[in-house]
Amino acid sequence: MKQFRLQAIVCFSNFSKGGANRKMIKKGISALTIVLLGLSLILSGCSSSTSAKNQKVLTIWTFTDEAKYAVKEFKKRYPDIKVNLLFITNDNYVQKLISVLQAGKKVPDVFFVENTYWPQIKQIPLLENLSKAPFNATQITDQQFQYIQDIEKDEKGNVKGLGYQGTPGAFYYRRDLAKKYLGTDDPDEVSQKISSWDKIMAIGEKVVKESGGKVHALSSWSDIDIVQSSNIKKPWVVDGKLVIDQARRDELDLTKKAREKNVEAKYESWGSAWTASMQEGTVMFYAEPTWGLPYIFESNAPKTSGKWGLANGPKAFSNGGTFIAMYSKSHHKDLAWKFMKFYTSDPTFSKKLAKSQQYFLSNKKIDAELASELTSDFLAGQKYFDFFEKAGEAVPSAPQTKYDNDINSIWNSKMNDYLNGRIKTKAKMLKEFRTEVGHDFPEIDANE
Amino acid sequence: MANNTSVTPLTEKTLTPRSRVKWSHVIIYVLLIVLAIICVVPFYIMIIYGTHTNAEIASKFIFLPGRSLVENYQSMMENVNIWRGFMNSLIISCCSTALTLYFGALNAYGFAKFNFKGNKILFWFVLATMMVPQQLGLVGTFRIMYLLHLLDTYASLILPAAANAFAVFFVKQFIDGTIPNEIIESARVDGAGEFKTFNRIILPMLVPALAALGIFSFIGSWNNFMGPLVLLFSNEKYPLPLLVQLLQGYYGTNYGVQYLGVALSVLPIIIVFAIFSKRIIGSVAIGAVKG
Repeated sequence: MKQFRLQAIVCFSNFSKGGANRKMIKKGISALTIVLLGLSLILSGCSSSTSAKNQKVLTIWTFTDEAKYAVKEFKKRYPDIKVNLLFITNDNYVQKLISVLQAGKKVPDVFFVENTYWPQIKQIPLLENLSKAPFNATQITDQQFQYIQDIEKDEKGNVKGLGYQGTPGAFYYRRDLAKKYLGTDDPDEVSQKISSWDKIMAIGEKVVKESGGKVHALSSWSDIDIVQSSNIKKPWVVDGKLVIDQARRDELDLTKKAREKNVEAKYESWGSAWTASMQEGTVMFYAEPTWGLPYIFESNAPKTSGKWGLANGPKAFSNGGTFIAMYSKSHHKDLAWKFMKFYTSDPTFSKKLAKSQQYFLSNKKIDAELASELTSDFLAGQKYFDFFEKAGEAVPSAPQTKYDNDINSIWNSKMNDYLNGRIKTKAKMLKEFRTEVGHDFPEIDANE
Repeated sequence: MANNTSVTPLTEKTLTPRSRVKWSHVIIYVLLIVLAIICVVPFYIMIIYGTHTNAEIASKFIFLPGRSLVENYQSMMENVNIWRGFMNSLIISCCSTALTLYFGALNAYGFAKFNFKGNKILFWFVLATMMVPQQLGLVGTFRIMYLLHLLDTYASLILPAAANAFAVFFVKQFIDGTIPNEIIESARVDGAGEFKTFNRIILPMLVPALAALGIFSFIGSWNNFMGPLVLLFSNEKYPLPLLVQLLQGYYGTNYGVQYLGVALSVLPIIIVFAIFSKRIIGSVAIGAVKG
């Protein structure tokens, strides 16, 4: 191929020189035809491979490797369906997904979307409406926790994606520390002792004093944020106007107090000091959702098995979650639906997933069936499915908007500035926050 | 590790004084040793961390090799096939470097030695394309590759390398400075066609410039992240930078595995350059003297 191209260019360079002899031109023309022939061969070769639309090939895009397990099981169940799985990590994934949706080219039949980006993506019209026939997704969603059902629907109440993961939260606590400072490590009694933020603050102050500043009640201010942001009544934007919910205003006061009284350990969540603290036992409580058990605690502090417990904090909350959506112009909607149904509601698969991967499901019916038998050695034998199943029922539905991801990150950075003292007062912090939101999103009225 | 051991003997040898120790030398060598350590330590840490579990890395600073190398390697291979990634990276980088060098040289030769109408304007136009940011160019590349049905093929990454404005510029400068018109004329007198003149006579003379350019182009292509991310649609075709990224789990990263992946993807390049660096630098220097 390279050879042909070279000759074609020779032909051009001769031409440019003006006075080329006939022999060269002839040679050049024959070379050109060969190049064209070769090119057409390549193109036809490619198009024949892309035009195979009748084959049973399902293209799935995911940002999380946990999909590999599901795809493996799906292939076992339906050996005649070929699955083409593309795995890209988080930020790049959203970028690529949105760009192919915009271009309308090479769009996957099924794609996974994380909760952070879901409000933004679920309103794209290219997502199939799953409420209508032949999918009738409400039959599946009816078995799910209420808060998940609300996230799955768009503004018009149509189901645009299915969640397979249940993500209610808990206060994970170190049993040894609880026994030492609270006098008990029983989950119910601990839940009693941390049933309000005031109680947690009091425990925090006491623990810091008694341990000589070594042990803290909370790991970072995000332990407060994760709970409060899940309990908002109004989303960031209502009718084009920026709204700061009361839960978020409370959060400002709570985090400041926690910072000043050393109730929180000032770790950066997901930072290395934060993960190390789980191993070292310098923090009593971490507010994390279901998936924190395998992915945060067991993976970062494997040697602390049996030292942990689950308790209910001041309020129920949830965090994260993944939703599977279908491309409305897909040629394989039947296959796509088969996969979505399999992942979210197939009882055999769901139970296997829950048992082998410690995976808490969105389907509360199946969760309830497993509640009595699933225990975790890491949590000293606590029945964690039972715990999360009850916690899931209590999780409030926090309203979302497509701006959430961006505004949350502005909020977080202003919170950090406020807590670190770079912004001195609460009023100033709120003002700066409003200014920046207004700057980034001119369409939002950010004034008070 | 290889890096560390290769550095220490050198410094020790240079430290042993023949007769008298000069203070200035001591200071210089101490500074050089410190510099060498600063350069080597990150690589050393990267390799050492590849042999530890995530929990060990998270909890303390480690300076000695651990025992989890096999374990990390296995969990890496479960997620991604790094050797396949190597092959992909090699195919893409080698082919696109070859294309860049050959067509860059050919183009530059044309601009440097042929006085056709609009030569200057065309040359400036080629240079102007360097001003377009690569990210913007990707949008167009995506469209063209879609029209040509080349999305999700190596060709979509390799073929654009043939049109490299920087290569044209770089080689043209070199030709202007080193290759006299007489050589081309004598080739013509001896009856060589234009194409033969270029391939047999000009190209070998350009080797020093092409060697330097080859390094840039190879590294650029080896490290290219955005291109393959946009143009490839199957994990099996992913080159190393994308594969290493995939080692980053969604729920927090297993650092041991990731360090191992990075180390494995960087080491071969370091080794190749350690072996060939003298030749590469030597050939560049020879060209410079001649010019």
